Amino acid sequence: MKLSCNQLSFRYKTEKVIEGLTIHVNDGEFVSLIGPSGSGKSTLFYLIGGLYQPDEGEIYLDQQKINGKRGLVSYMPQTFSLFPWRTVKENISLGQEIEKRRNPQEIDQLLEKAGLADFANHFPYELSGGMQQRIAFLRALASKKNLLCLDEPFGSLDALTRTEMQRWLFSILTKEKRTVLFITHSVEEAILLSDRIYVLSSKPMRVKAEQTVPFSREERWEKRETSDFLQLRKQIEEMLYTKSR
Amino acid sequence: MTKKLLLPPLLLTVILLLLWEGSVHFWEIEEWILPAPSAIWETFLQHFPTLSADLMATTWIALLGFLFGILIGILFATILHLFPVLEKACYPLIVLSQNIPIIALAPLLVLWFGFGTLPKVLIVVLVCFFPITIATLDGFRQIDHTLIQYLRIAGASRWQIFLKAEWPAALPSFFSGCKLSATYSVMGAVISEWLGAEKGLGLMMQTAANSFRTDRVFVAIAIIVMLSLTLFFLIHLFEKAIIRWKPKKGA
Repeated sequence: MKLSCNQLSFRYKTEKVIEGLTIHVNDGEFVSLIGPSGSGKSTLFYLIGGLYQPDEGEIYLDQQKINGKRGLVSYMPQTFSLFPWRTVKENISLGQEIEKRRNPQEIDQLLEKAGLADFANHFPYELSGGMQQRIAFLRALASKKNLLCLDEPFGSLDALTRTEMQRWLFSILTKEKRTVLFITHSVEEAILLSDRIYVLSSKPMRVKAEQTVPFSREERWEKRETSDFLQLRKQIEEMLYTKSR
Repeated sequence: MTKKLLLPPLLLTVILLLLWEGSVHFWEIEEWILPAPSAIWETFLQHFPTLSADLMATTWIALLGFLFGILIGILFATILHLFPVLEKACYPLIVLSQNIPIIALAPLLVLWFGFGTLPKVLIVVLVCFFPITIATLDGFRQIDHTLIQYLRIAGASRWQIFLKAEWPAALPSFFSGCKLSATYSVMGAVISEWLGAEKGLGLMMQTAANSFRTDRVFVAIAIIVMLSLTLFFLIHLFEKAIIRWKPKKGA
């Protein structure tokens, strides 16, 4: 098991944001967290990222307790959060710089693999939203941490760019084997990309249901119009919108 | 773009100069009260070659003070930012230091450090560091907080966060502070020379005023203005060379 969160609780001031949350992610697995916006999903990433300490519960990464430890996971924030004064290449190298292991070749290869080599020396303001998002994702990949935490990466993109980005992400992840924890509020996106889905409640955030995606990674895209797919989608939507007791 | 920006102020300057010239002739104003621009220009052409030593002296003091002002400005801003306790304690004192009139402080500096270059440069440093410290401190606060959060999750140290996020974010503000200080530096240098100098535009201005050579006072003023503008423009060029990441306005 790559990551496991046991009975996590966290309160912000007096408000309970997360309560008794238990999830796990296996090595190489793509797991989505789906829940209403404002339900505290980003807060969970801050806990995993070590920005905050949970009030109760433990977080384990590779069997090591990582409560409050920073610098162990790759993180892609909801906003692009690219550094405006750094070129594309410099942005992607950021992780390496922090870890003090520079390897420009590795960055070049990554850009090549992602088909973005032509943009290496551009500044973020010169790029479209979808392009900035790709760079933010490559930056997370380049930091070489095995667990990628992606916080609703496509939330701010238009529908067309979003579909394009989902396919792109998918193709990159087949080349670069990583374990992914993915936040989204699109059910379709969750089914298309993940192996397993946690449906979460809001305020406080708990696991409402867990759903394994029955389609293999390769067949999901062809199946997106089939009744099996649509039924699964409906089923998850119902779980999402029914009030928990 | 820049041409369009430059045209209105240039036009206004020309109109004002013409009005000035016309008024002096129309009301037959005495030259020692207000010389016409044409008379000032003549004096300028006549005296400029002999003024180079004064110009050099003032430029040297202004530049030296400006450079140390920048260094101290950055140092103060960095230390105060990295140690918030110090910022709380020092910020009011720094603001207070700017309320002491330089004219009052200058004789004291001469008393302590003599008539040499040191007290003059100190005066320039005192007027220059303040805008830079305040502007840079402000710049540190303007950073997009999600960038810092990103760096923290990535495991960055406090120093790395400062170098990779806060400092570059503050650079545009730092340059704004520098531009203000650049113009203040020349003013500071001129004031410092009033206290006693062997050469310099400040001294030249004072002797000219004492002997009712108003035309020469205006020549000194013109040179001071040009010197300030040159410094301002140099900083502007530096800024353009260093900050390349901002989209050009209107693009």
